[in-house]
Amino acid sequence: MSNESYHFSDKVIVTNILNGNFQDFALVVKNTEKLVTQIVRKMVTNEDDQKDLVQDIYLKAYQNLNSFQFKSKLSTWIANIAYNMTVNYLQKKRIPIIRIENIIENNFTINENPELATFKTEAAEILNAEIAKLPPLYKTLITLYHLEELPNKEIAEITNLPEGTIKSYLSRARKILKENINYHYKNEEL
Amino acid sequence: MKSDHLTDETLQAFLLNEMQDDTISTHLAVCSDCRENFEKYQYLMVGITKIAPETFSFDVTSLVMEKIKEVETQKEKNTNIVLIMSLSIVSIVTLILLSPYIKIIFTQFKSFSIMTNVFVSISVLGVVIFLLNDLFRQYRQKEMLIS
Repeated sequence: MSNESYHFSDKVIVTNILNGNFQDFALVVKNTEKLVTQIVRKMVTNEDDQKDLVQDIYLKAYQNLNSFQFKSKLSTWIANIAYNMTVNYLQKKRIPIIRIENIIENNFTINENPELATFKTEAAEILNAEIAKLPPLYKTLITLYHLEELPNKEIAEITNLPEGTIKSYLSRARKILKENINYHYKNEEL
Repeated sequence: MKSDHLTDETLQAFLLNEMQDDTISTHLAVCSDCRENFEKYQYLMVGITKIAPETFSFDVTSLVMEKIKEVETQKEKNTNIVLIMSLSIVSIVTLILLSPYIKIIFTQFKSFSIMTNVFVSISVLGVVIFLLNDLFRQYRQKEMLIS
């Protein structure tokens, strides 16, 4: 869908809601819940907290809908609220969103020549476990870029981070993942 | 010691088509270490895209809409309270301001015959009932439109 058609459908829905048809907000939730789920679930593990956060995120979006200026997609705007509120939650709980010490579990060098074939076995399960070990911000960036297939520009709008920083964090997250998966398989072989 | 191997950043950018350079593909063709590293990234990126997106164990839409309905109902209640209070204040002020004239109006009625008084009372009551009924009908129509 082009930018114009996104803006048009966003405008129709937002106008309806602002005119008093609050039931139309269900459409907004349905259209954006996948993206919001990825952000909240990747950063918050407690289910009760996830529930409260999701409710608060959408309530804030609903109450501030009149301030949405259609400069971005409605989904990006809501994802930005979701990201900011989740980061605030983590800060309140004193959980660092990006902590890079002790993430790399080995001193991997490419000369150690590990078996490439091992990358294929149980890949999804191991990959999931390794992604879960990443700092919250890295997990979110990996999900938004690779699973939601969002461009860096949109991720920058959601996270309020410069595109260059996002690229660098993504690169670092992939490197950590690659090295930890490699370490995992090497340990299994021993 | 200077290493001629491709950096992780270069390999990732090349894999994501963010960087297109013949020297990279040439290097990958001759350097087994870099090729191996490149293939690991390839497997990693393919693997990530195959991960099923996470979902919540609860229905997000119902949960959110329930909360919004609650907020809307509360907002409506508050609006009604404000409206009723404003109307009451206006009525009381009007009554206080009109109190010296009310007595005069009632003395006027005393001079009319009973039939005239009954006629005036029924007419006023009829107009009030008609206006209230119309007001209620419009309210119901708007309520139906919203729901």
